[in-house]
Amino acid sequence: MSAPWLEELAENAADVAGQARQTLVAVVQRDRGVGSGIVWSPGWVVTNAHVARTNRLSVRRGDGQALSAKVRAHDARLDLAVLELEDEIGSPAVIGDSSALRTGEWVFAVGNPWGVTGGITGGAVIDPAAGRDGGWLALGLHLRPGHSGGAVVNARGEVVGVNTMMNGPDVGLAIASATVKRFLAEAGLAKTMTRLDRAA
Amino acid sequence: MNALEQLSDSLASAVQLAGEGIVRVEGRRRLPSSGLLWAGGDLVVTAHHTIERRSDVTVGLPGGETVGAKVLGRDPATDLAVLRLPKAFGKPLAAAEAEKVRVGHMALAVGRPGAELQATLGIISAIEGGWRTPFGGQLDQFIQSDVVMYPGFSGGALIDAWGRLVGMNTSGVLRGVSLAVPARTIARIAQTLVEHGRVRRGYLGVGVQPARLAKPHGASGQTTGLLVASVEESSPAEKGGLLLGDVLLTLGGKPLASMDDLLAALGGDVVGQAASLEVMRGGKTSTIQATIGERPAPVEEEEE
Repeated sequence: MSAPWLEELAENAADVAGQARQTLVAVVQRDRGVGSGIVWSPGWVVTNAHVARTNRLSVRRGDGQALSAKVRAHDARLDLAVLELEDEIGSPAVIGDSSALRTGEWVFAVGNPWGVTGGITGGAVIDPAAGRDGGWLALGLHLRPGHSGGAVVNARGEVVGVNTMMNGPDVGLAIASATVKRFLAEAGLAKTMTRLDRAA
Repeated sequence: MNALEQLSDSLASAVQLAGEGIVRVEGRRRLPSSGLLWAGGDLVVTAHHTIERRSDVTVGLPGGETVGAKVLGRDPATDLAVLRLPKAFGKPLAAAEAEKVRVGHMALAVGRPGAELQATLGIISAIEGGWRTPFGGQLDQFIQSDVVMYPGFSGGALIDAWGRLVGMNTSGVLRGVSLAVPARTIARIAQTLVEHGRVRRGYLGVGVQPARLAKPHGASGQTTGLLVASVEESSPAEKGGLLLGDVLLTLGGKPLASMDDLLAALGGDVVGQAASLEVMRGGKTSTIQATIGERPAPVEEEEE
């Protein structure tokens, strides 16, 4: 028999997982397999640059709907890319403040690991300011091929990072949402995407 | 806050609380390790295997300040070293009650190899009673967890969900196993290191391996003894007249059926004492007198 709060915990976790899945799309590169993307605002998807290496991309939603997408920004060094969809689909993700993350707090990563749609994995924040510039999150969870470009969400379901790669066998690395925001501003897309966000 | 948010927040708070007593230790080339403020806050306990030099060890405090530290003593057998700081800093972690830590409990490994705290989450995988390390040290408990030992986490804390110290993490005792040296063992060894600079262990000077006896021996009915495969020069064993091929049966009346029995019989309390060794030689049992020596310290590496 489990304590009521443990059941509540499980329910909360399932809710946050469901919320995280709402932000998820599959990014299909012809002949290069399937990665993940985050619906940052309606019609706009943030993903990894290595998931968007060709301009012939399509994006698939959870319900199976496929849309063509154009790369609007691409930075291989940051490993970030922005896609504009042919339609303003999707509800915007709630973007969290990655700089407020605390060491030890709980996060989930959502993506399409090994092509499994909407796979969820969870773990604790090892270091909220990892990497040389502090713009990365080191996480105690396992990212797999297909997770790349998907969202890391905190216990409130807010997007705080972008799944990017593993560092050794047990440490997942994600680009912090603050880094993404800077990238969007520098790419001149922040306003466009926010405007669409408001219109939605 | 819902239950998930509370869990997440509590874990982060436990890390933050424990972090006030966790320092960075720079005692080797390249990668710093972690350490625990100890006793009055003027001592640091860390993992022996991460201290490669005797002098020029620096400690990074929770507040960001860096101070020089002196190596007071070290015990390779339990992988513990104690450093002295110029004065008291910060607040040592409170220890968890050893009896209340259970297999399945959540636990966090917390380290400070860089400027900021880092933590990994897992559960207590195994707890067993007293356990002897491969280097002959006695731990009060064997505590294994599945936390990921991030580089530089050795010497840091394994904490419970309330931020209390379960033990000091080390990956230097068992390869591939996240082992924690229990808080109680740290307290015991640290005190000895502060007082004497080392932990004395008895020394006989033999290399042995278990060997089956032709027939059970003595009142205990032991079926194995320890075959002497090597005798070190000028050692208590050589002076006592032990020969290659002898089979050790008892030391001070206690059966020697395994390596562990021998290590247990050679505690620090028997150094300098005469002990009688029962041995089997050429099918006959005889008794040899030997004066137990003190195990020499391992050869220190060259200073940089």
